[in-house]
Parts: sequence; structure tokens; C-alpha cells
Amino acid sequence: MIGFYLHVPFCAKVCAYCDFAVLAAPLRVQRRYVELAQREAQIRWSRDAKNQSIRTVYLGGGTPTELQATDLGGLLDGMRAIGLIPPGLAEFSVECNPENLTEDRLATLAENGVDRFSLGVQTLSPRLLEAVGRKSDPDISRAAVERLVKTGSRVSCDLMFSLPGQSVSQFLADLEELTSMGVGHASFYGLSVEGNTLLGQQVSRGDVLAPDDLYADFYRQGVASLESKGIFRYEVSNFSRPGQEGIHNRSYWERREYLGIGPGAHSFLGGVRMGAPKAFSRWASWVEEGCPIAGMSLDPIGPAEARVEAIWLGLRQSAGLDLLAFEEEFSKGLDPKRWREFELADQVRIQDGRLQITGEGFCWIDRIVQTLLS
Amino acid sequence: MATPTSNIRNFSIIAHIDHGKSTLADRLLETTRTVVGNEMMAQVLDDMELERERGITIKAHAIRMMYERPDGQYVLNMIDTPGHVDFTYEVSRSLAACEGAILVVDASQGIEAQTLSNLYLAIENNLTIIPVINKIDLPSANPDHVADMIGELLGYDPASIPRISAKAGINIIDVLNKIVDEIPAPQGKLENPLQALIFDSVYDSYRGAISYVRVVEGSIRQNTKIRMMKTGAEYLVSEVGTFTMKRNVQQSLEPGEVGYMLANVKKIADIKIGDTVTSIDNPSQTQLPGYKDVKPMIFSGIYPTNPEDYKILRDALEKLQLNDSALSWLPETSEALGFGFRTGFLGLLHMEIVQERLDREFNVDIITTAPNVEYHVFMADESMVAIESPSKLPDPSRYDHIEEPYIQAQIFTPKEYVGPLMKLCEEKRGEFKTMEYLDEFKVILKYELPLGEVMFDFYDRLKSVSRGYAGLDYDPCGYRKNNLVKLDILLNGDPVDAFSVIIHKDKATTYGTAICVRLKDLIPRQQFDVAIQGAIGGKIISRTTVKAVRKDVTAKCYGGDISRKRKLLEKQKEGKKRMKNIGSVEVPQKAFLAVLSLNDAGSGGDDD
Repeated sequence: MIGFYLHVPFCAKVCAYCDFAVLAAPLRVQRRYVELAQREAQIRWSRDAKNQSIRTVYLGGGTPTELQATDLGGLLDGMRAIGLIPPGLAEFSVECNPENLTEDRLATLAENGVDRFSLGVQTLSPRLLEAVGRKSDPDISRAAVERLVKTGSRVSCDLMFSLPGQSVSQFLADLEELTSMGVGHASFYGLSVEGNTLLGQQVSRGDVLAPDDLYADFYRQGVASLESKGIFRYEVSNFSRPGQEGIHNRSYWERREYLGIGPGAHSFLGGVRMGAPKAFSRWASWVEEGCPIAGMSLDPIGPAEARVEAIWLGLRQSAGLDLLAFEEEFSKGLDPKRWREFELADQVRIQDGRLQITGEGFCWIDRIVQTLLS
Repeated sequence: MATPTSNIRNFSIIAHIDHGKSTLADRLLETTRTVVGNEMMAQVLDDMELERERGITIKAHAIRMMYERPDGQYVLNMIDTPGHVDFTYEVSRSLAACEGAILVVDASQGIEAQTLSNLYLAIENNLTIIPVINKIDLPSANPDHVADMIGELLGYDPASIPRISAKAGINIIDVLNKIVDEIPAPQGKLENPLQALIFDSVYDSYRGAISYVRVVEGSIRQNTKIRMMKTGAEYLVSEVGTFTMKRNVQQSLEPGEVGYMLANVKKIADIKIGDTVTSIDNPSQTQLPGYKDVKPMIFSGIYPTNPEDYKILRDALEKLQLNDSALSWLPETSEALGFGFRTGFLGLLHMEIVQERLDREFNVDIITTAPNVEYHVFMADESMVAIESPSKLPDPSRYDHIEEPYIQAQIFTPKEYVGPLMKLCEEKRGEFKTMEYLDEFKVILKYELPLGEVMFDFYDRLKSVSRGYAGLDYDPCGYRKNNLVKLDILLNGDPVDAFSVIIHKDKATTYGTAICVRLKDLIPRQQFDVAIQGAIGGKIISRTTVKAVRKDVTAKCYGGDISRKRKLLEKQKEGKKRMKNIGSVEVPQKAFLAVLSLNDAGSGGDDD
């Protein structure tokens, strides 16, 4: 059983902080995308994934709901016809933006069995939305949440903090409001300023100040606020009511295999992490050539790489790293001396044979992982 | 090889940076068909990877060419010389193996500082000089004027100076004919006892030490039992040969010939450049003049980043010294960096090259401390202590004064840059000596300057204020008493010996402030605030703070991020390994050389 990730590379407008493979494109290009994605899926499910059956589907982007309802329907019908959206999925998640979650699209998604919506809200402050170049309106977000919760599907909201000009109390108010509306899952991230984005340029020019120093305060108080409402952290940036964890996303951290389709989509199959060409035009010609393996970025995961992944991805999860399983897999366990300093600082602990990050440790996870790796 | 001694010519090419030395060398190799067709890579002589990358010639090389003309076949041995001001010593090594030198002068630029200093070296070595005017095809060329200047300088008939374009391949044959006609053939005799000069050597991981030799008298062949006359080491020769583009094994090397010698040398220290090789069976009674020992001008500490690599670093330095006898070192210890070596260099470029070779050829990860000169400290009882490291400076109460080394600098410049250059020299605490007109456009400025000021960005600044036109040459000229103080750098209150410098009191505050600001950029943020302070004798003169980080977390990680972020983690892990823990503060390698990037200026210059 593997996961299936389908990447839709379109957005109405590229946000100031985004470094994903996305573009604002006319309908003609979107139709072409639907055809090509189906072709890629047809070739690669059998060739790379050996027709393994699909456990979870995640439709992400970009903005899948940027596609017209008919194209969206066509895309999903095509995938179903190949066998990539079988009945009895453990989870079918879709990423969507509040502003284009129209009735017809919602209906198309529901008909296709989508049972989890991940809504890119980011913030409920109009001023902050504008500051990060998001084309949205908080009231549209509120309406979208309300409608999705009513359908009975599981609803997750993506939020951002450490935005230029944002206060901790603003962020906490967003969390408060959304959870009171019945949202059972949330992901939140401190704004990360990448050099190759509009915001990155603004920050490096000094036009915008990034309030990095408040990161820990935002994060700590955000976690506390959610936990007080019974929504618990199960990964560094992911929180849910018990039983509502994202199954597909969690499979990434559990190092399970998955097939990714679309421009720049990554797969993990047969012990190799592979990535398709990212630019739309290069991806398109690559698909037309029959998706040659040589045209992908390849990262074979040998024991050394697997060890790094096991430690790093394991510790990202609240459940932590199963030390006995780790020792069995890599025939050499982790030396407790390596984490002693963090244990003394209350940043890690051992619970039921698992090494877990605790409290403040989640703000220092990269440092802890690096120390464990060296 | 049955070329009679009378048909051998040994020569070097001397030139100022950018006057086209390597291009002429390439063209000679092509014209004599030593390299043909696609063997030809631009500037074939610069075979060390580093040399090609930097476009400079560091080490002496020797290549043998065959040149046919109606009166017979000639062997031309071309011995390359380095051109950077730091490497005067290496030039004299190359010249001692020759009878003649080609002096390349740019048809637009005329005579320059290094042209002259190398020319004097050639004249000191009794070499026949063949002037050549290059780049005659450039629009700005003024070959007649340049020919007159050279004529006056050398007493050479201006009309008979070859006017060439190495780049366009114009009149190259004239140069070859001049070599044959004007450079004297070597004088040695085959029947005399062996005397061969070792003028270079390299370490090859497969063949061991390879010595480059010039046979002066007698001959050397496989199975000759040899003795190194200085070191007394004795070996059996296993192979001799010559270089074209690669090594060619030969039966023997005879008088006047230039080639290499392999002798299964076990101890690197047995081979000393400048030594005379003779045979045990028929030994020579006298040694060849050899070279005077070279004195390092600047010093810096070299430490293994990883303390376990101390022995590897030591072996690497030993091997480097085999063909870089200008390099010297002594073990030292630093509180901050542990066990390492105080290493002496000819100049800053030499230092950088050694660092890069340690990294590339020997794969040793090192930390280098800020370079400094040798100071003479006069103690209260009037005795003198020479110190090569600021951390060795005794307590101020124990000494009377400090003296620092000076150089006499000759700056060649078009007259319009005299103003800015004088300003630069004043800024560097220079003392004006004389100004002479070389011709109506060109001037020689003479200054006495503290070497400690010149070693950093002086050369780059000189080039930049003169738009690249000024040239520099210098010689040491003794020590002078100055008001020098030791500036310490403290990290969170603890002085770090590897950061200490000795500096003129008037410049200490400016320097202290600049270095604290620079270190603030170089030292990564840690989990706590790091105070960086500059202090003289316990008095704080400057301070900056590296603010603590509040997080170290990759927040977002989904399917597409895993490869990229794992590789980032691995890279960061490597970076962490290269950090040095000073107390609880993690300091990156490059922080120890922060002083070199104070003005965002690098160092050294480029050769052609």
C-alpha cells in the first residue's frame, strides 16, 4: 500500500512567500495539465510503483481548486480510471483556498470521495494577508470553514505566524476563532523567508522586517492554546483532535512509500526518492518523452541516508523515535550520551522506549538532530 | 640523446603580470611541435590545478623542445618562472638553471616593476637577456617607444628587438632564432665528475620525490650511485628523463641537459633544493653555488580543525616543503586551537596557496590565524626577543619597546596616480624616500613602509587606486621602533589568543572596532548572546554582540522536502564539524582570518 500525491501547479496569484512549483495560467494550459498528468500517472504507476494499491490520496498544490470544476472532475475521473483513486481509501485530502472553493467545485470533490479538506487560511487579519501578498479576504475564509464543517468532512486550517507586523495575541485570536468553529486539525508555520521569493527580496532590501525573535513565543503560545482545546501536537507543525491526524502526511514522516504526479512532484518508490522536473514546460516535454527516469532528480536512500531520515523524521513526531526498532533497522543504536545535554535541558525525554522531543525542544529540533547525527 | 652540448639552450621567460609570458610559452611549444593540435590547452605550463584556476604560475617547471633549422637540430629547455612579487626567490631558482632569459615587455605598458626586478635577478645570474616586445597587434601598442626604453636600459640595439604578438602568433620564429643565436650553449664536459643542480622537486604519491635537475658537469643515468652534497644522503638513481608534456625516460642526462631524476628517496628532508648531486664513484670536489636560504616574511598559525589530524597536517607540511623550501614551520600550541604550527611564508599569496594546497592535495581541514610579521621585543634588560606570534608578547611591564620590520617599496606608476598612491602610503605609515621619472610618463616612487601594513590589502589598494597600472616591488630594509600594542579579542569575556594582533597604537581603536563588527557577521548566532570585545592591556576599546537565536527548527516538511532538507541537514552537520568550540562559543574557521576581509578586499594579485 502506498500514498498517491497529485500536484496541481496553479494559483490565481503567486504569494509573496511561496517557493513552490506554481504558476498563474490560462485555461488552455490547465487543460493541457490534466491530460499530461494522466499520461504521467499511467506510465509511472505501473513502471515505478509496480501498480501497488493506493491507501491515501492527497491532492495538493498550488491550488487544486484553481482548476475549473469540469477540469477538476476530469482530472479525478482520469485518475480513477487508471486505478489511482480506488474505493475504500483510508483518506482523500484536498488542499484548497477559501476564495475559489465554489459550490460546483465542492460538489465535484464530494462526488469523488474527498473526506478531508486542508484550507489555506494563513491569517484572519486583512492587513497581514495583504502584507504577504495573499489574494483573500478573512470573511471568505470564515464562510468556507463554516461550509466545510457543515458537510461533515474533516477540516484542517493552515495558519502562519511571525508575519511582518503580526502580534502573538492576533495569532492566538485566529486559533481561537477557527477552533470554535469546529476545525479539528491545524498546521501552523512561522513565516520562513526564502531568498528566491518576493518577500525574501523585500526583507533583504530592508523594506520588510521579519520578526524572527518572536518565533518561540508565537510557537509556544500557539501550541498551548490548541492543547487547551483538546487539539494536540503530533508533529512539529501539525495538531489534531485525537483520531483526526492527517494519514497521508503522516506517512511521509513514517518513511512510507508514495507516488507523486505533476510538475516538481516527488515520489519515494523502491528505496529511491525521485523528483519530476519542476518548471511546467520542462515537465510537459518530459511527460511527452515518456517520463524517462534519467529526466528526474534521483536520491537513492542507502543505510546512511535512511539513518538520517529515521532520526530526523522520527523526532519531528510527538511519538518520537522507537529506539529498539532503530537499533534493529540499523544494527547499531543511538548513543545516549548524544542526547544527555538535551535531556538535562528538558528538551528531550525517554518514554516507553522512545526518544521524544518535549517542550522547548521543538524550537531546537534541528540542533538536536544535528547533534544526534554527528 | 645524442644532441651535442653545443646545440642545447636553456632559458627562462621573465615578464610582468599580464605581459603575455604564458601565451608566449604556449606559442613556442606549438611552433616547435612539442604540443600539437588538441593537446594544446591554453597555458600548458601551469599544470598545477591551483595554478590554472588562479591563472598564476607558482612553481618552476621545465619543458624540453626540439627546434630544427638548416644548421642543425637544437634542444631548447624552457624553465618557467613565477611572476608574483611574493615569489622572487623562486625566480632566482629557475634562473640559476639557465644561460639566458627572454624578457617580455608589453608594447603598450612598457617596463614595469616586476620586469625590472626579475631582470636584475637575471643579470645577477650572468644570463644573456633577449628582450621581446609583445602585443604589437593591440591598437594602443607603441613598440618604438618601448624599444627605445629597453635599448637604453640594456644597451641593446632597439632595431634588433623582436616585435611579436604571442596571441596572434606573429614573429615567433624570430624569438626561437634569437634563443639559438644569442644564448650561449652550456659549458660542461661529459668526462668531468657529476655536478647537477636540484632546482625543484615535487612529491608524487606514486613515484615518491621527483627531483628536477640541471646537469652542469658529467652525466647521470639509471643506477648511478649519487650523493647529495649538502645533506650527504646517498641513493641509487632509478630513472632519469626529460619533460615534454609528460615525463620521457632517457638513458642519461648529460652536461647542459635539464630533466628529472627518481631515486626511491625515503626521507623527504634528504632532498634540498639548491643542493648539488654528484656520483659516489667519481665525486666532484666542489658544490654548485646553490641558493641562499630564504627568510619567511609573514607568519600565521595553522591548526587542524579536528585535533586528531595533527599528524596528518605535519606530514602534509613536510611534503609541501619538498618543493616549497620557502615554507617553514615550528610546532606551537594555542589555548583556543590546541596543537598546531607557526608557519612562515614569503607573503600573503604564498600563505593562501599553502592553505589551498593543504586542503586540496592533502585533504586536511585547517584553521589559519591572522598573519603577522616577526617583531623584535627589547626587554627591560636590553636583551632582544624575536616573536612570531602576538600571543608570545611578554607582559608590557617586562619590555622596553617593540621594533617592527620595514620594507623599501618601489612603486612604478604612470605619473597621474602619484597623488592617490602617496596618500595610500601615508595611510599605511609609510615614509617617503624619493621620486624619479623613468621617462616623461612613468615614475618610480620609493617609500619605506612597515611590512605589517603592506601584507594585508596594500597590493590590492595599490592596483585599485592606479586602475591596475601601478606595479610594486619590495625588499626588506631592517627594523624600526614604533609605538606598538597588543590588541586582544574577547569572546564572552575570555581572551582568545588566536585572535590577538600587534598593532600601532594610533590604529588600534579603528582596527578593534572594525574587527568586532566583522566578527559579529562571521560568528553565527548561538543559543545565548555572545559579546565580542576588543581590549588593549585589559581596557575595552570596542564591543559588539551576536544576539542569541530563539529557534533552530525546520517547521515545514512534506514529501517533496525530504531529500532537499536531508541534504541541508547533512551539509549543516559538516559545517558544524568545521566549527571550533572556544569556551561555549562555536566559531567558524573563517572568523580566524576575519582581518583579511575587513575591507572586503582579498589579497595578492594575479600573474598572466
